[in-house]
Amino acid sequence: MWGLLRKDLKSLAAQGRVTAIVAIFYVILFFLSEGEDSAASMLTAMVVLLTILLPVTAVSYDERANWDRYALTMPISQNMLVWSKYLLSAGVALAGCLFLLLLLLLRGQGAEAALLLGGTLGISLFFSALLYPLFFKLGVEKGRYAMLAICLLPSVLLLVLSRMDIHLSLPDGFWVENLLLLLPGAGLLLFFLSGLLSCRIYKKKEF
Amino acid sequence: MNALELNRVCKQYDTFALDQVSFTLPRGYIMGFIGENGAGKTTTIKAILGLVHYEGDISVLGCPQEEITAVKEQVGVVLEEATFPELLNARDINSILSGVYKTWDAGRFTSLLQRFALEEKKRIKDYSRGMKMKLALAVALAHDSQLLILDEPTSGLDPVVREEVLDMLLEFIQNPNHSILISSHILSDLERICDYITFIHQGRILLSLPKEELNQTYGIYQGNEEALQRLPKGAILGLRRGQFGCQALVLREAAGNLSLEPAELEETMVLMIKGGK
Repeated sequence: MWGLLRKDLKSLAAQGRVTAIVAIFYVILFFLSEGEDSAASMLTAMVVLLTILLPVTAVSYDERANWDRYALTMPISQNMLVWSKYLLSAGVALAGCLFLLLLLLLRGQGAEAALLLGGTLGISLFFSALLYPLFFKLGVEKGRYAMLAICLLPSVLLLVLSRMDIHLSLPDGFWVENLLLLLPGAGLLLFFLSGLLSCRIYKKKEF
Repeated sequence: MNALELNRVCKQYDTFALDQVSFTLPRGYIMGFIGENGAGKTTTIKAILGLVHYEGDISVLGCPQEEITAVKEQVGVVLEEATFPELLNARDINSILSGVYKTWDAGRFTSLLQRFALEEKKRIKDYSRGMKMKLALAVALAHDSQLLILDEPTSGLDPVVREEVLDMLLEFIQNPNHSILISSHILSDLERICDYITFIHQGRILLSLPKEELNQTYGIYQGNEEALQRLPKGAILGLRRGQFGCQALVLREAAGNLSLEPAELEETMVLMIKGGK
């Protein structure tokens, strides 16, 4: 398992410059931004983005080299290959959250850190949980389109509802806060279930 | 204990099928796995490695397929078109695989890289096909491999390196516990190093036997086709007609007084495929 994680980290480190540029861009925006909420949400977006992008990049490198086929000739099980990717995502999300915490403390926004970090972690894990089964089932190329479709689905639904003259009101602050409190646990549960589903999908694959 | 045992292995695709593939590779020997493109060599190798689902029984180093992950510590593999992600280099691979194989020998890997003239810091995306093959061979030989499964390992290599690779395989087989299954289109290579030959055609095994037996069992007849007509039914396994006579693959035990030349691997394969009835 550690060998697999080391491989992904080394692959990603090889293109670390791009990641660093994205991170620096968001950090500059964070410090330039005046409103506390918008600044923090920008960083949340960055962490979620990197949690999705980095493992997807690692999967696409693997796919291009037929790495899975080769890896399965080694003492590596199919489940190990699947869970190593989930561990990578969890690791990136956690590292992103720590980075976020550091920046919040630097800007003196420590008070809202716990809620924000929980929300960020939850959303990151939620998206990863949605993506991996798609990637394992369809491959990265087709999986990207499926991912796009899933992301657009809520907007399309809202549009359809508004056309039908059904208007949803935004939940009040109480609900938003409770939702944020639930997010890390729900994200983690979904993440774990998604891992089990991916293992099942992967077992049926041929290489 | 046998290094490999395949018993009635079947795999169905839309346009191709492995049909009751059975053969055995005893420990301590090299088996050449031959057949034309699309005959089923790679599919069979994938089945052995558990990369495709199939029906039938396969055991690797005495372990059934269900326990194959454990035994892969002792299996070295070279596959066509399957390698490490392209941004890595050989130094990265050394550190990664030390976390994958319990018996990984980092020093041996480095010395194999030097022997193959592979630069440690060069990224895989800058490797040629031959270099990727050499890298995979170095990986296969840098842990406690008892069995090598090599799918076209010498393709893309120049004759000098090919010779060196074959020498390394002969070195590897000096240990009586070591065995090799090697598929290749370069039949002269196989003729040089193999103890056993297994020939697959359209998903079926046509023959699987020790190399010496190939000559004892089959012979090549060259000459007038009329001479062949006296032979019993089933004696001729392949026939090619030419401008000045014919060439036939003949079962020696049924050949009677017919003068036969030794059955070379390449001629045997061509006659069985092209001249088969």
